[in-house]
Amino acid sequence: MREATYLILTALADGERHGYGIVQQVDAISDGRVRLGTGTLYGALERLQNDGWVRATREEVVDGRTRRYYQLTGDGRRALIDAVEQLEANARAARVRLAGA
Amino acid sequence: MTAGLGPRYEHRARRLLRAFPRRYRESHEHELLSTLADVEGARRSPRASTAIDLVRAGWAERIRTHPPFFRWLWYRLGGKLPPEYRAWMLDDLRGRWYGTRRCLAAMAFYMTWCAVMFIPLGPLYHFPARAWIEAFFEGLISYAVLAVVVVPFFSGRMRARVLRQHGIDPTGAPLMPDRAFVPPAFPVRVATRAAPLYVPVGWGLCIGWALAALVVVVNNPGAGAIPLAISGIVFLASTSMLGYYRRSMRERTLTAQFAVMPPGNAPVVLAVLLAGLPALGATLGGPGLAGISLIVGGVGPATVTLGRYARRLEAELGRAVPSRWVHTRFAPAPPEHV
Repeated sequence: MREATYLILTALADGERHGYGIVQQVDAISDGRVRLGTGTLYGALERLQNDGWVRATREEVVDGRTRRYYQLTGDGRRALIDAVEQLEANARAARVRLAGA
Repeated sequence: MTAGLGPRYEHRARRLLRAFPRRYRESHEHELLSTLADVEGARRSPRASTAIDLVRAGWAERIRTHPPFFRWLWYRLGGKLPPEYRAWMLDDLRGRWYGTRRCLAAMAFYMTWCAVMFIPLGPLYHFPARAWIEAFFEGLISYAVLAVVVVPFFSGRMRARVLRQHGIDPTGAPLMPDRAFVPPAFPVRVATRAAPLYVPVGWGLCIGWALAALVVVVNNPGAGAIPLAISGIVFLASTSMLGYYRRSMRERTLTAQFAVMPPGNAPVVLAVLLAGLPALGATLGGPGLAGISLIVGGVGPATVTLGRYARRLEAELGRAVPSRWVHTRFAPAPPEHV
């Protein structure tokens, strides 16, 4: 899983968000290290929707701006859990080796 | 207008968003502009990194949804695409210069085929490579002229045909419930509006084309004229069907078109492929092979085309047609269309 995808899924893990909300969350989660481009975000959302990991829930227009909200699906949640476990296992293995050196 | 965006920013951003496929823009453009307004709305024009990111993402989306090469080639040469590429296909049909793009793709394919065929046939006929290259470029130029000057007149008709071939009603009327889908209405509108031009333009071009071929053949009985003459004959035969087509555009009910679908272009593509070999043989070997190439290259595809329309006409007059042509999902005709 690419980092951008992982971060987008993480941003959606605790509830639905619109595009700019996801950008802000990704910024916060990564401590400002990852600046998600608008193109990258929407490209990834389209792919994730096709894979059935994310779905659009509702749309509203606030002050002349269109906001569409996105949400994790069951499959998306499972994929994120798998990715987290994988990363944790990798991190553990790295720590063990570093401690042994 | 998206709130919070300056006109200059919005103009530039919309231009950058053209990197995305049309279907995506239609459903997401305003949302994307809104997010851009949130992210960097105070700027006068998009940041360079934003611009690169948008273009890259747009093209990635285009590539992701594009049919694989051989499927695409098959479709470009007149074949059918499976339903999962329908959204891509509708974009392709609605895009600018549809006929020209299709014609140029066919040209590239045919030219590649001829180039590949030269490897075995060139030495066989002791044909000098230089003359072959000349003939190749002659074909290339006439095809390119055809694509840019002639084909745009037929784009609407080609679009409507491809839509019907894929079971989509070109006027946008709803199909049977399980296939409910509303395609763009304009291909047929364009086709019908241009209908009065079909016959005079078609015949003018045919006669011009045939005269040009004749002049070339008389003045220069060299090899390159023969493919030109062949293409002229094919062109003449197919365009002579225009009159019938124009009348049928006006009179034929849609349901009749849908109930009876003659086979697609596959036989024509096959015939053209087969014709490539003898046509090249004629180019290389002189008049002996010209006869064969004329029969296979000219009469073959023309007969197939004529046969298809004759059968369609028969069907409309109430004669029997092969059952495999009858698409049952269109068969129950809604009375208001009859």
